[in-house]
Amino acid sequence: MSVGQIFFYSVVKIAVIFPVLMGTVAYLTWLERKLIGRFQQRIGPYRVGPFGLLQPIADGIKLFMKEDIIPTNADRVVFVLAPLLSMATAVLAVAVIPFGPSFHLFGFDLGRVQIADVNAGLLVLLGVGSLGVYGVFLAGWSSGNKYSLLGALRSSAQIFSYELTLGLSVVTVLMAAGTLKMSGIADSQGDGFWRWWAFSSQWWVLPGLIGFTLYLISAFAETNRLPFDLPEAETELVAGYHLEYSSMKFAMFFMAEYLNMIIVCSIAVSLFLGAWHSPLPFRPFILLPGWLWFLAKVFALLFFFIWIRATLPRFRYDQLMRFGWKIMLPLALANIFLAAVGLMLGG
Amino acid sequence: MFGALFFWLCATIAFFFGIGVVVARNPMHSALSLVATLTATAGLFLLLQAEFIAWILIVVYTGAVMVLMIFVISLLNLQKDDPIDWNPARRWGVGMVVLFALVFLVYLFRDPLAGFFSIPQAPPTPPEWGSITVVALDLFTRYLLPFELASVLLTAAVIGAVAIARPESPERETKER
Repeated sequence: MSVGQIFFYSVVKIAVIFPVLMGTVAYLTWLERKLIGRFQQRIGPYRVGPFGLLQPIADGIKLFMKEDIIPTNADRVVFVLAPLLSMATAVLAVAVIPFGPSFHLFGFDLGRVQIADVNAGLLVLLGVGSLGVYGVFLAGWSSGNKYSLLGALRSSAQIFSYELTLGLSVVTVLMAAGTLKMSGIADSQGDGFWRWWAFSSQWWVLPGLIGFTLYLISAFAETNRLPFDLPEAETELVAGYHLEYSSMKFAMFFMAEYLNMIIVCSIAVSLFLGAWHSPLPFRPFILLPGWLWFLAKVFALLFFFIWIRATLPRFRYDQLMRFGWKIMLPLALANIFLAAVGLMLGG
Repeated sequence: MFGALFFWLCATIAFFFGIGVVVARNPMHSALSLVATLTATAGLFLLLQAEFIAWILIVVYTGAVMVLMIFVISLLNLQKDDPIDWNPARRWGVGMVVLFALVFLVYLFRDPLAGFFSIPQAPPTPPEWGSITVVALDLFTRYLLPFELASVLLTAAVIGAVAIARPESPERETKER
């Protein structure tokens, strides 16, 4: 393929994937409210549209009509830049996620359902992920409010601490699959769920399972979800870094958070849960298209995220830090060692 | 064509934000300009097929070093710089230095500048050239000793930092709940 062709196909894929993604963000808020309602013996939103289905649109209109306030003390440029950065870094990661295998439409081979299959795919994810902290921190700093700054420090320290574990937990997959290319990692997990890296690491189950668990826990912390939602502990601390934001700027932080949730789930699916492969490698399961399996797995994980939110109370901040540095990090390091020994003996 | 566009985009961003690092009055804006410059530089590395270096630059420099820098700046509560006093002596001094540097750079890069609007093509490289596999093979075979020495040095530095930051006597350490 020529460069122009690659460019054209990428644009087409972005044009398909991006609206789907944003739609998922909108309806994820609906799903969360509906599910949390059910978990708490309530009905959840039901007034706007059938089953409350138009609720996200109503929310959007409401946020859009709100007054857009920029505090007097704020650093105006950075204040406007911060929510944009939050969104941008969240969206960027989508570029390398392998949503499905090769795809044919009207007889054309469109390639994989993946915007860019770069060689350093996993590194791209880690790199883009490490930029996410800018949006949070700059928002808190530029607000010109000490509570915002303290909130930003709190959230950044949290994101830092758990990013280490996140990166290290992914290394086991990298060692087992032997490639950084996302499509390569996805391809290495075909033929049934016992080949997924969460359940196998070529010779026994432990490193993969520990890695997957560590990844999930740090993913909760990375996306500021309960039990790690200290950045916006509205009941005991003032909200935090987005304290001074209103209207669409606040909505962008909100969207970035949900986007991040979808992305960490997608990464978990593509690294640990067999990407687009069906769990059982025979009919009728393999008849379903790959992207549908991918979406199903992502939604299963999202459901798990919401379920945890309805179940667990919030950590205290010192507990959060202690857990991250004294338990998660040593475990992740030990797990890499375990995987290395395993690969050497078994592989 | 796309390569050229990408090159000019990254080069322009790196250039103007590079100026921004020096010119900005607010230390935070200075640091943010440096972030933009580093990101654009990573783009230039991508163009040279040095994929691994490019992303490591992002992970380490933009993702870790600069974030720490920004942390420190925001906590020190630095004020805006005073405007520079442009007296004639300083004006002439700075002017001469800049002129000299410019002439020197033009002399140094006279060949690439001759074909100003044609991007100097990177020499054709083997397909896996800048990939992590190749880098890792070199690191763990040919350059194993320097690599291991560097990691020992870094570990020693971390332990040193912890030792310095620790309270002097263990009793003064706040009891953990």
